[in-house]
Amino acid sequence: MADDGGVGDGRDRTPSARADVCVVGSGPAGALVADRLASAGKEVVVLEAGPRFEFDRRREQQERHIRPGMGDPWEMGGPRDDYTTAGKHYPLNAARVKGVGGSTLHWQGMVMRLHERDFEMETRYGLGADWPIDYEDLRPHYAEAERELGVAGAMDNPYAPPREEPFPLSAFPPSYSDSLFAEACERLGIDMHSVPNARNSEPYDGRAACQGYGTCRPVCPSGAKYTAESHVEKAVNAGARVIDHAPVQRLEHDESGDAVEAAVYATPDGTERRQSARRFVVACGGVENARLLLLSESERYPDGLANSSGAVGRFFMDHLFAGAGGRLDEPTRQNHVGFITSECHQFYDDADPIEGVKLEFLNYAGPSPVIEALHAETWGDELLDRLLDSYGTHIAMGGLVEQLPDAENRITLDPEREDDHGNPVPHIEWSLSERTRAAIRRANEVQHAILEELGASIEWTVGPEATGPAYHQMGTTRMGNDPAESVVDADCRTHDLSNLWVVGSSVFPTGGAMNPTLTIAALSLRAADSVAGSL
Amino acid sequence: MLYPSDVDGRREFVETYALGRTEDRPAYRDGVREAAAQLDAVARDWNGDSYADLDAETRDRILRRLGVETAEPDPEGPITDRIRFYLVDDLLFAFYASPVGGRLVGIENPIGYPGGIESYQRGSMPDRDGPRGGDGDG
Ligand SMILES: Cc1cc2nc3c(=O)[nH]c(=O)nc-3n(C[C@H](O)[C@H](O)[C@H](O)COP(=O)(O)OP(=O)(O)OC[C@H]3O[C@@H](n4cnc5c(N)ncnc54)[C@H](O)[C@@H]3O)c2cc1C
Ligand code: SF4
Repeated sequence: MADDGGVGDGRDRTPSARADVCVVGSGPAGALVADRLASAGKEVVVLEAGPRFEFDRRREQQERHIRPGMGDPWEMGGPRDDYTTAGKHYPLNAARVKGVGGSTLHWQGMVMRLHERDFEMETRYGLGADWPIDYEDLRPHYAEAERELGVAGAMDNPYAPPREEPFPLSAFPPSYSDSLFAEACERLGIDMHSVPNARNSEPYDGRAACQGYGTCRPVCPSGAKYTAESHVEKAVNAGARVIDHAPVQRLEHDESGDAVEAAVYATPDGTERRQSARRFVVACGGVENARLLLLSESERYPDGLANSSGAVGRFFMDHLFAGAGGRLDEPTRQNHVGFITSECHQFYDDADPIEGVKLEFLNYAGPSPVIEALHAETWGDELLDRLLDSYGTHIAMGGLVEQLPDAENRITLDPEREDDHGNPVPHIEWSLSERTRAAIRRANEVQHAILEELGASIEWTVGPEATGPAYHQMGTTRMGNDPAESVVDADCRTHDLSNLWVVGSSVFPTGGAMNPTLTIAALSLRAADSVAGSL
Repeated sequence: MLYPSDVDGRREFVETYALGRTEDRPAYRDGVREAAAQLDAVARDWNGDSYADLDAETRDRILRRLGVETAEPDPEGPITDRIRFYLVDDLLFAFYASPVGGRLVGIENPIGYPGGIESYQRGSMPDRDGPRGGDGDG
């Protein structure tokens, strides 16, 4: 029987012979690189900390999400995922998933390109840091990424950055509540437009069309929502090997300190194993990328691998949620689908505030009857009366606000607390500046103006105090031309080690206010070319 | 009595839809069976009759006296929490995550049920009010 590392499924979890490329992490960042390189004939081994979640159990996972008492459908939490925070609390385990497919198992699937200004905030405004690449450099990779993820979208957004080719799939038409918003927005001179969604508006890439289960976040039972499981599967079909339940403990370098030699991973039985390879790609997500480099400290690199700049773990950013909502005196038809169909990017490039602000028109305002029923302390006719009272007229807006990089917002290792393998857990120091708060207030002002114009009674506002992260961890291994100031170069290769790449939103020098994953995907495709070119 | 009183075919709904839902989850089915047997034992003890043979009012009283309406649903908890999880929440989930229950509240395709992609652009539920002019199916 194969050495399955104590998992009990009989799958071999011993290392392969020296591979061309070892990818650590199987979220979209790692999966796209693995697929590209395996398809180019390279020998690829992917090490993934979490388990494989079989697709045929998605209905049950969906039930877990809806019903109290069944636990997290993606099983996050416990000693494996432990962490500590200081400053504003960061709920890390709500903000990521460990498993084949990574956090896209849970994600919402909104995918937009960054704007041109996002790549040059320092030049334009003296704020943050410029990227070492600009929009034009990334533009062809954005188009490729949209095809890979299967993005449904339309060309109706006058504020979007330049593009020629249409989206691979047609956009989801606006919802009924969008049509209510449209009248109010028109009177205020505010433009609404479609939202690019990594979600099948028609069958695409072997996956079904969206059926409207309404639970996209956290579980899509139809497979219409893109998850990186798709690219893991493609990589495997092209010959890659994926070892799940295999958290990498550290990377080990050669004597000279020029190159990584092996990724040391542990299996549940406690055995440590070494996967050697010619090239390494770290793709563990915005917090674990930094943590793995810090855990890989050595005599040669006492402050952590690839950290001669001291920037590893620093400049941690997320997008801040701003929102407001209330009730109308007519039906708003919410909670039919779990995604949004209209946004407003009109204020994104403004200089007041300079921070990017993106506005969303929600299709899931207010409680969903079934979830409310399960939390109610009654049943029968009394319950129905209560549901009738609470469902039907809610309306709400959301939005994302940019947070500029700040060296004091950072990921370090917490020496006081260990994970299930005896490694120090990540410690997140995070706070919001007055600038960020002001930008959130500005978003709230526009939201209130729209809701008031609509005639809604505003019942709640998520402003600078109540705000929380949008679950986009960015900045902790920033990209740049200067090795003294940044961790990776424009190709996502570390300045310090010649055969090590880091991919994901941790490389973003600034984060804009657009959901990050399309940019992650575009950068990964670009990095894959660079890895392939080096072999 | 968990379902609203003017719903027709409640028993049929439970037998076909609610029970069919978990057919391929043996551990879950065992949990349902055990909680049902225990509830039945309580009913016999307190009222001398099988739970199913009692009238709705008495059944309701038994559940409330057990504290089920405020219990934390927990598949591994004490009897009250398991009754909430395996019997009450199971049936409420099956009902309100289906059009049968959803419609009563005004949503023909509640979350957990496929079909929202057909209905999310409509301004009202068909068959009930009829589509509203202009801003309907789009
Ligand atoms: C609720 C929610 C909603 C979201 N909605 C959106 C959205 O609408 N649009 C958008 O653009 N983004 C969204 N995101 C963010 C999006 O999911 C992430 O940007 C994206 O998944 C990041 O990709 P990644 O591959 O870099 O990291 P991840 O997807 O997090 O994958 C990292 C993988 O690496 C593995 N790993 C970590 N450490 C190790 C180790 N030491 N050894 C081996 N493996 C390891 C993890 O187990 C994980 O599987 C959302 C996220 C959440 C949580
Ligand atoms: S609404 Fe969301 S969960 Fe339902 S099928 Fe579409 S993408 Fe999947």
